[in-house]
Amino acid sequence: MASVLEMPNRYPGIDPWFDLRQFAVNGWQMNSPSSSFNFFAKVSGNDVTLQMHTRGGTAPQIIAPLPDWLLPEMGVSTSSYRTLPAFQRTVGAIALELYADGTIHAAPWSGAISDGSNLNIVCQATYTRKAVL
Amino acid sequence: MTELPLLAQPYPDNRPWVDLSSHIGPTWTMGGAAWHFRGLLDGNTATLHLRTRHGIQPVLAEQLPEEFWPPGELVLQAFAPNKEKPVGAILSANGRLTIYNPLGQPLLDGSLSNFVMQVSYARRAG
Repeated sequence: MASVLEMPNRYPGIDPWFDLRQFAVNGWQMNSPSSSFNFFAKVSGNDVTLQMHTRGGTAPQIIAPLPDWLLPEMGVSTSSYRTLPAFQRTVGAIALELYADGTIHAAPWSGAISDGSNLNIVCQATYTRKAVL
Repeated sequence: MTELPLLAQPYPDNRPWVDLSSHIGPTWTMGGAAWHFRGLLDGNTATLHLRTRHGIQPVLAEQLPEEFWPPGELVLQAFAPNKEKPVGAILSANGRLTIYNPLGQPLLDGSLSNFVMQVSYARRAG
């Protein structure tokens, strides 16, 4: 957890929000938690809550592997990812895929993404954390 | 802390929801149980739940109480069931809530109603 920066929080010791923008790749990089392009998360017991607003990316993968303590629980599902609802300027409703290793990708049906014009993906999601780390 | 009216609820002393309907913009006037604007403060996290009537202005709320201000500008996902295209909202760092209109559809001709948003986000550190 030491490599992830805690955002300024009103109550730093209680369910703090963390700045995750360092994990953005492929041109999806955000500016800061206090900007309009941000990526942060809160851990609360068994839950992780994400909030993301990207800049423009050039490949489907948006986020590099997240730390172990943010990984999703996959259970008995044979699926290798969780699908997260999202939406995007000029596109509309899209989906993101959160893989077991903590990487996040634009779903294949989420439109062209290779020219860098694919930006403003907004995702707000809560998911169950991995049970055994 | 700003004095905010509490909603009726089973445990009013334990993380109570507050009524934010007085902060809604003039053309989005609420009234009745189906139309509401509610908020919850829980440590570092704020939660909003909004369902509007008709509106003709982009500003949903000119300024929310400081307790609900985010660390920066947030783009928030919303929906309006009578609109085929997506809608959203922008919550500025000083609590101004406006319509986010990604596809430029005519939202402010009075036809936009039932704008619904449920969101939790980080609070500004203070």
